[in-house]
Amino acid sequence: MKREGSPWTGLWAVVLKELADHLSSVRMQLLEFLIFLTAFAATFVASRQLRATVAEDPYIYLKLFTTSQDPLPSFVAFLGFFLPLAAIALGFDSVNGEHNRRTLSRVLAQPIYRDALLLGKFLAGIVTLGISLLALWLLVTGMGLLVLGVAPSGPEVARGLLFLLSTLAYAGIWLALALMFSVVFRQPATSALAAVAVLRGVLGHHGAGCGAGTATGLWR
Amino acid sequence: MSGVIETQDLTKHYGPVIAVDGLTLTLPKGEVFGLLGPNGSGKTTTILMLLGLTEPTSGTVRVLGYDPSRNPLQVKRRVGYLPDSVGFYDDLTARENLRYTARLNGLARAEAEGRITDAMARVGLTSVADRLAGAFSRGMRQRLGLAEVLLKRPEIAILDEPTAGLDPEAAMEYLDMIKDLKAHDITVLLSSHLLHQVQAVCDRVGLFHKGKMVLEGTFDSLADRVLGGAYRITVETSRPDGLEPALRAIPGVTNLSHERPGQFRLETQVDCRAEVARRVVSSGADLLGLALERPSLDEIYARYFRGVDHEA
Repeated sequence: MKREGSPWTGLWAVVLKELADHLSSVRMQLLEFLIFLTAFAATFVASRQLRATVAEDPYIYLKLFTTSQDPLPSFVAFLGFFLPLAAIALGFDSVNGEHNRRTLSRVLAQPIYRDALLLGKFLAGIVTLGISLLALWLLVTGMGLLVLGVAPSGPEVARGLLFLLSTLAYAGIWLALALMFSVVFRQPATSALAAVAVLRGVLGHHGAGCGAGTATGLWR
Repeated sequence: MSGVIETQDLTKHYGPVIAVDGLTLTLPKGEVFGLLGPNGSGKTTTILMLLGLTEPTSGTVRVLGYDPSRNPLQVKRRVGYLPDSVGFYDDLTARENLRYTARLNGLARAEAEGRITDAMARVGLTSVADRLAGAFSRGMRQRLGLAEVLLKRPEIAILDEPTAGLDPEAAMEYLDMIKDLKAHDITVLLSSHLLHQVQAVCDRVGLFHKGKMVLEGTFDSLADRVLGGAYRITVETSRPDGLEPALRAIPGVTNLSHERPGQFRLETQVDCRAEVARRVVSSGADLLGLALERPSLDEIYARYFRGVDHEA
């Protein structure tokens, strides 16, 4: 049966509300703190190894992002599990949380489709992740500038931006997964656990322990 | 087609469970209709189908001429809904909560602010409009829910268990606000299991039982149908012996029962207190008390379902 009226009616209202929620939440402040720590650690690790070879290396900023030193992982490796975690933290209780606070039926009684609510929540999440990621990338590049004393070339900036976009797409998948679990499971804790279990399955043993701990910590 | 809400053989199955079974209902404009029944009797499912939030298994629904499962946006724009035990975003103020609703309804900013202030005033929340909704009591939440309904300037208001969990005084105030909706020409559909409260505001009621609307009509007509009479007379005498046949013979008396020695309870179709008094006195007994009461909806309900259970 065909329904009438645009499925995106009210989409912007949802996006703006969710975005305001994300940006003012304690969860976001924790994410910001993590961003700063990450950027600092990544630059520190890379700069210690790179300083010797700065002058002759054409891929210096690539190295800044990919160099690791035990026990700290490289910036890229860190993003690989930090971003899914952030995405899960933003998405795991977005629908069942509203259901449990009994705001869901009230919102759905307004002239919007469920599509608008779900997509609105997704878009707000991806914008939030995008802002975090951009801040992180700028921080690392900026610190790199300070520590290494070499400005990134045009191609390096372009590569960096491409990297940023693909990483955001990667984070989007995890956000969508967390959102889906928040629809499927009634309890936010169950949906967080399910998402972290998938994360563990994909990333292997390494990320799981930290994952569970951080997700629990981020949950209010 | 004359009603603002019309359903025809509306049926909803959840797997093997039949939540609503062949509901046919018409609500004329401006009426306050009470959907009554115990929890799980299909009231909320009916409401969800009226709003297009769930699709009927079979049967048709028309709300203001629209089919809610085809055109839910048009329906939801014109119908205000207060869900059962409504919740708000705890970290937003009452005004911000309503602002979100206004935005979802596509209201322009200036228009929305005016309507919000207006709606808050009508439910008496002006003084707490800028407090966090998380600090609101149950009663205030219900009021805020009603403010949200008013904000939309709806043609129909659907209220699910609006007075559940309120203290008696708050409930009375709330019912007054519902009466006020009627005065503003809004058709009201309210569901409840608190019958005595509903009795005070509804023009017409429908009793739900296991997904079926088993009784429907004005309160008086239900009393007639179920109790066999709408009046109840309590008689107290000093010497009740031999009085029973005489009382039973009074025209209009449909039932007689002993409350305790010396006290009879008569169910009658008319107010025949004068005749009762005459017969008691002429039998030589003293008449100690004579009282007339209208049965409540609770009794109609209890009596009806006792009958249903006996048959089953």
